Amino acid sequence: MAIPSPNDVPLPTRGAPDDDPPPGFFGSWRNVYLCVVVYLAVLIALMYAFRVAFER
Amino acid sequence: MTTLDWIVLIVTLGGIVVYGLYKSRDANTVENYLRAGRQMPWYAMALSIMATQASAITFISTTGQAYVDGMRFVQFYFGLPLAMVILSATAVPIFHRANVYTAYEYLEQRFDGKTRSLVSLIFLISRGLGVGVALSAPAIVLSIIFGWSDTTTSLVVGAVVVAYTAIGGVQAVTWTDFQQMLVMFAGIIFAFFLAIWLMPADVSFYDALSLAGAAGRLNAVTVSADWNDRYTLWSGLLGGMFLALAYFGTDQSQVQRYLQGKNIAHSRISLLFNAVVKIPFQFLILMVGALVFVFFIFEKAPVLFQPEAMQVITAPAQAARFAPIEQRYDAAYATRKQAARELLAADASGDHAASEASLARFQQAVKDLTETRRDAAALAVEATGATGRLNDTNYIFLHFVTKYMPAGIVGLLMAAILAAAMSTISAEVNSLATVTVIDIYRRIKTGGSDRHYLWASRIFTLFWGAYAVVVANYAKTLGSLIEVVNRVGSLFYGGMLGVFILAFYMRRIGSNAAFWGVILGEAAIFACNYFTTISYLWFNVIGCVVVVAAAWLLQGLDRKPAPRGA
Repeated sequence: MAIPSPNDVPLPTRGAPDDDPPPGFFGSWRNVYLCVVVYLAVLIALMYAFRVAFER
Repeated sequence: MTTLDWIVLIVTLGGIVVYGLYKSRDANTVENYLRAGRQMPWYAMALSIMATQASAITFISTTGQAYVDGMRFVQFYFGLPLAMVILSATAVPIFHRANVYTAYEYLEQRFDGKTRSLVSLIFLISRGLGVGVALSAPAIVLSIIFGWSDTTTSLVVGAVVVAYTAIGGVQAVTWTDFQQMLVMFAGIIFAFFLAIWLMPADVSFYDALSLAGAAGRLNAVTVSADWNDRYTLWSGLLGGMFLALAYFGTDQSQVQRYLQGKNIAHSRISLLFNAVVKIPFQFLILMVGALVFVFFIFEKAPVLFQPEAMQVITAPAQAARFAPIEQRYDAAYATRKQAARELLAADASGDHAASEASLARFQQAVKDLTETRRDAAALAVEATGATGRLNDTNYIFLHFVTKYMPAGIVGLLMAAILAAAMSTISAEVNSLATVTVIDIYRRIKTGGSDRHYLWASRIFTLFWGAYAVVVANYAKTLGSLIEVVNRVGSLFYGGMLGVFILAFYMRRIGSNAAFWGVILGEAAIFACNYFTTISYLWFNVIGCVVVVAAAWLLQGLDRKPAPRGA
């Protein structure tokens, strides 16, 4: 429970290496993040199409 | 509620609590009690994160929101996946490698003790108020369903939640959250299919969507650049991302969920699961609200859904004033129903001119009904001598469920709403106790045994539970509860997000600059709150920018060497 002293603690503010690879066929975490962003764009496009299809 | 509903409700919630306690039977060390031994699988954390965010009032209000305003509220969540990606790439590996119990513990490693204490205190104040409101909101609504006073409802819900949280710690919270979220999924899926099933036999699902679209209830994406419009694609992406970054990245009630992960990958997947599932889940809830709107085109609803308000305006003392409102309401309802039937018939026959005429009558009747309901709500407020606006939205879904759903399903949906309340409150009480012990108590009372801090954690859980019940009784007098929750959060989230941005991304910023940056950021937010009319939704952005800018300037003025690690 002891709090580590500052000297023991890295300050990984950016570019921290990954401990574990992502699951499945993604290859890297960067690909996973890209898929999430593309998924969001597709989701918004589908919702917009849904609105246009039914709104009068 | 029938006997069957009560059986379903008690067995569902009781079973969840017993299961949570069984899964937390090894919570006999501080490590297991507050961090689940860092052995939690991703799926349990993922649903716990989702359940913590989904409170009862969100569950009840969101369907009502779609009924009165359409589905555009879904845009509020568009920034969430972006925030999850940013947090997975930055905050998750940083917190994991720092091996911390709380997000604020990391601030001492990065800055110093006073910055950690300041931000911990800010969290305790804001979340302490928030948990009281989270408890009071469902109590006020559910007290009408159960026939208990809202104080009794707060006490019963609060006692059950605090009991299993105090005994089982974060493991009990996470595993009950997991089950509670499954009940919420089941509840909303049942509600979706039953809303379709309860439509008149000659109204198909496609017809229901046509009518909802004609009434403007399927406005899921609005691309207007109107800054006064709270829910647009742009405010959702930008404002929603800031809010989600602050909530999931700096609020211990969420950070504690993914700090339990077996490794960085499990914690990342738990956040990214939410990035993928949250928007469709909210879309489904809002779709239920839109379908309930269509259902009440063919089934006459009361002028107001809140039973107490209806009693007030239908009392003999208000008869003279209510009679013309009721006449207008009846006429508008009949016109809307007839126009809806004619619209569907014209669409089916392909008669474009008839379709246009029916559509115009239908949309006018929808407006007339909305105005009539507004007048009735104003009459209810005036008759009771209250101030502000009557919030009838929270009662729409409950009215639909309790009046039209079959026995057994009502119990399941009540269990889903109560599960939403319990999951949020348990996570908040658990995080408050964790911060109190790790960031405050353990630094004052040093050298205690593991068993001592374990019992301190349990006692502080009881304390925060009792505090929540007391605040809940006071919170009901504060006005619109959902606005109170958002306003309280917005007073503090900007400062908290700002200091974590300094910690993660601005390595040259030292402890003094960060500390005074937070103070100045919070001062700016409170100045905006008391001396300007700026909407509280902007406080997150203003506070965050002031913290970062002030710290950067102060660091520039400080001639001392940059901190170690820069």
